[in-house]
Amino acid sequence: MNHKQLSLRKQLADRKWLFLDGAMGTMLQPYLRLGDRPEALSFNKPQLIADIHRQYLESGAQVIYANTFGANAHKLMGTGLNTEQVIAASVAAAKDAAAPYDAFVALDLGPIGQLLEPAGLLTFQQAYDLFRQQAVAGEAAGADLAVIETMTDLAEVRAAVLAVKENTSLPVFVTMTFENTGRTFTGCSPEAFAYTLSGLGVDAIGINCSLGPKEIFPIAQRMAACTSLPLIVKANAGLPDPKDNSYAVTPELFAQQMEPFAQLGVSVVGGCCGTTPAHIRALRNALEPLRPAQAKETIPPAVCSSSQVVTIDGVRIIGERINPTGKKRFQQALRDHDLDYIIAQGVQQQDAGAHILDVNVGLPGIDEPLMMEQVVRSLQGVTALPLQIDSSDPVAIERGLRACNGIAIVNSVNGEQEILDRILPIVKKYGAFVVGLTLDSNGIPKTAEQRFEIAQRILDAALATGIPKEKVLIDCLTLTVSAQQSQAAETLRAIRMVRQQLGLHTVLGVSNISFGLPNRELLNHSFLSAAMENGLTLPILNPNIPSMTAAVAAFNVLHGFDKDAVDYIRRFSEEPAPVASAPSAGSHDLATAVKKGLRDEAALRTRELLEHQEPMDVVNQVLIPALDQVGADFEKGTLFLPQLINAAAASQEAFAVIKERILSAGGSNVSKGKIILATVKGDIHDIGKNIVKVLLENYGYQVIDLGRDVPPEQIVQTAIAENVRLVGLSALMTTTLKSMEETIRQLRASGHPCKIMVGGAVLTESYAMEIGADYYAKDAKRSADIAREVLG
Amino acid sequence: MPAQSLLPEINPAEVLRYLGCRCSCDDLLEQIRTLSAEILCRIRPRTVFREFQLNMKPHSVEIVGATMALPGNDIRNLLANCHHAVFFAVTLGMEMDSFLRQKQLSNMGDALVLDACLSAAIDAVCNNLRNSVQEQYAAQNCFLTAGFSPGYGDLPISLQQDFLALLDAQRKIGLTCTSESILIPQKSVTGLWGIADSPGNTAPSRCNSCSMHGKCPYQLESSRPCDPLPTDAPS
Repeated sequence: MNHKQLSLRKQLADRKWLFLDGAMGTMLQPYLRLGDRPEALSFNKPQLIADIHRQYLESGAQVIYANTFGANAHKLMGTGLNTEQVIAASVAAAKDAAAPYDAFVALDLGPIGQLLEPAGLLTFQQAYDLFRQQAVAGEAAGADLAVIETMTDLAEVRAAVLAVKENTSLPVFVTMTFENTGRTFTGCSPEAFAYTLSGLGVDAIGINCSLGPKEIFPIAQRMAACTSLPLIVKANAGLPDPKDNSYAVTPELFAQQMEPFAQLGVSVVGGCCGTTPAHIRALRNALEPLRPAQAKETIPPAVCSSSQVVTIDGVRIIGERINPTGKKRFQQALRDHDLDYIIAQGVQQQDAGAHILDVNVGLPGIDEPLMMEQVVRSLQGVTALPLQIDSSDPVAIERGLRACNGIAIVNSVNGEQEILDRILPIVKKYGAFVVGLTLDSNGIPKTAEQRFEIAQRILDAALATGIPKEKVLIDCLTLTVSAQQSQAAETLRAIRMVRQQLGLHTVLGVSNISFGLPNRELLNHSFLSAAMENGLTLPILNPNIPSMTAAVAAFNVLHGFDKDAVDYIRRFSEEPAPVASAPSAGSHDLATAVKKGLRDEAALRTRELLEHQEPMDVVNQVLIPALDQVGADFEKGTLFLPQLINAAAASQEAFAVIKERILSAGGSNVSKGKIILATVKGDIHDIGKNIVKVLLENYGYQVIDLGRDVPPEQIVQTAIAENVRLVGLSALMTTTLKSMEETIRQLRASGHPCKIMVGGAVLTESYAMEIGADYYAKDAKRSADIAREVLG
Repeated sequence: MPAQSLLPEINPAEVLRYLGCRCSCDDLLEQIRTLSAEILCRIRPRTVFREFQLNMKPHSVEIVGATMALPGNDIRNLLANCHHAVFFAVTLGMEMDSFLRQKQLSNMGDALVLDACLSAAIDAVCNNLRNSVQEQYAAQNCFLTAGFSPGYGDLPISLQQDFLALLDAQRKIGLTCTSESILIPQKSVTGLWGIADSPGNTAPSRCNSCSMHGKCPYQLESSRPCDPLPTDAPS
């Protein structure tokens, strides 16, 4: 780090005002047509750019943002310019201007312009690579710091921050842009942003663009409560006129509206859209006599996703169901790469009241690091709960943390020095919490005192690594009471000691206590209550068992954590919400329940039938005939797609029960043959493909769902590796039909013998034949007929 | 515009049309009602629109002050008597993409109906925005033409990115598109309305420029284009 960067950090640490510049885009408007890339001007008119910088410096800006906002390879595509050129020219123009003022030059990194998965198609790694290219070019060009701004997606922010921190030594500022609802377009809250970025260890965070100072103030207030980092506000000159996009707040009014930020501890200020050098001059004049409030010393500890923050005050439930231990159906899902089954466990636990989800995907023969990353990413697409990465493999832990869009918990380390040395630095890097198990190479100590001693050792190691105390959680370990009866009391005593003497929060998997005994629920429930009374804050349990979550709800009321019993009342006074396909009277047989789309009842009747019928008989004699009947009515036009799919969804519930039964009896999976389904490269519309999947699974086929945006090569490789005889391809857009054609070409060229069916809104029979498909599936029902024809 | 006036309700008849249903049985209507209610309590449609001056060229329409030009005959015909046009972009937002993903995991039947409800919702938002903009122009004795979007007729869908850039739509409403010109969030629309001095060409049949023209079951069987049959569903 050079002296300039040191002096920047000193200024931030002292909470002295740091004045940023105002808008570049606004100043460039007279020179640009809409659609032009402003960065090109650094190349074509460097003097113009340097002159704008000079105007801001003259007005009192101490940091100027180089004209590199959109200088990423994606946005520059088709301009004839490349990232390195543009950044070199832009930073040079800024440095040129800044030199006489001894001002700081920031490499400005704006959004890539494409959304990341799961909403969009850009992968985290692709985003990271684009930002890395800019960051490296920026440092080489001599920028003093990197500013990541106008972001709306926390995943993109994380990719950018990691790219800068892992490849340069530049200090990093990060600002996101919020709607007046207090969230970004992707749903990120100021609290989640603050916790996540504080965890990643950037230099300052804050808010820019979209709103004026008045609208930003309440959002900044929320952010300030969750971080001790220096805060940045770079507001617009009010709200734009929707008709001509002009901004009306005068420099004086702007400066006046910025004054209240001093009391929040905001110390880095500037202007965004609509602001000019006059705004910055007025801002500096108004704020310089004030003194920004000092940093907050205590911040309530919290884990978070990008949209949900869970503060560790009161007891919070960690859902334990994403774990293959002792669960044959889950193990099968891991082996089949059935991500939908796995993440559905997450959604179910969220609905049942879990606050945090434990994610354990370790199973012999599974690539755990890869699976961990995929499950974490998929879960984040459908639940807002923070995650606990549960693994003993440091590689899997790091992959999980890197993918985790928020602040996670790592489960776990123990008292062994080698493990602490390997895992704690990873925990620190991503700002995670860590669970320390009170055991070491000698096993689990018998006494509470010995466990306490290990907890102390883990805490010391964490503090030495730079992990703050509030992020260290201790697990005093549950032993089975039927085998080691005296240990239950030791565990409870150890929890009390750790909570009272070390002041740490504790984690405990409670369900183990009852292993081997009848009425497990009662023992689990009683042990949970006892553990909470002794100071347990983060029980790991099955939230699908209402008595367990109810015990936690009651505890939080009795100890005043659930203020005015708000959550308790909400939970226990509400009627259950009606669901679209709730079972009605409950008097139908399985076939009727399926035909009527009654999911819960279909599952119930299946369980009853399985008491005296073989699983495959239920499939072949009841389920498939019922679906055939629905299918026939669909073809006659007396029944329509929604009813067909409602029936398939009900049948899916029945199938889940059957699969569970077959697997727990040690049988192999139900399969009439494998079918690959994929939405082709470039296309993201997958509801059609997913509908086909449900129907095919109901007819007993094993669907290998490769997802959406699937490259042709992956389809070919999977078809060969899994010896698949039927491949179904889906495309919704005319622009992606060429990917479908290319996939078919590559499948044929591979020589792998398989039939190909295609479907999608823009396809026709003749076009399907023209691009070499064997079958055109005009609807989901037709795909089931084709499967029967090809696979029997 | 506030969310409430952009989307006061979702018309079940429109949802049935998107589902390809010519029936309106009670179970399905109940499913549509339940899901519509869930949408309405969490949706926040976002819109951006801006007027631009046009410059007619022999094979395209240029936009004054912008790099983009609109190629093709269809757009030239639509805008034949217009000197200006309002460009717009509308999205139901990322929340709805995520809502749809969740439903696909928990209940595919609901997901299918939800998808149709959202399609009906984005149509309604476009119509309501148009009505509101139309009112503003009516005061100046101007009329809006029918809407036109990238991908309609001979207007290339690859113009999506240019429409977004013209409106600064990523910054204003969080709307982006992929290199295959797919809009994300998925339930989104970009387009334009020409501003005309007379109502003459303001409402050409939307059927005439539709790719399903001549083979659309709704057009063939109904006097009202694109209406589901029978049209007895309550609205």
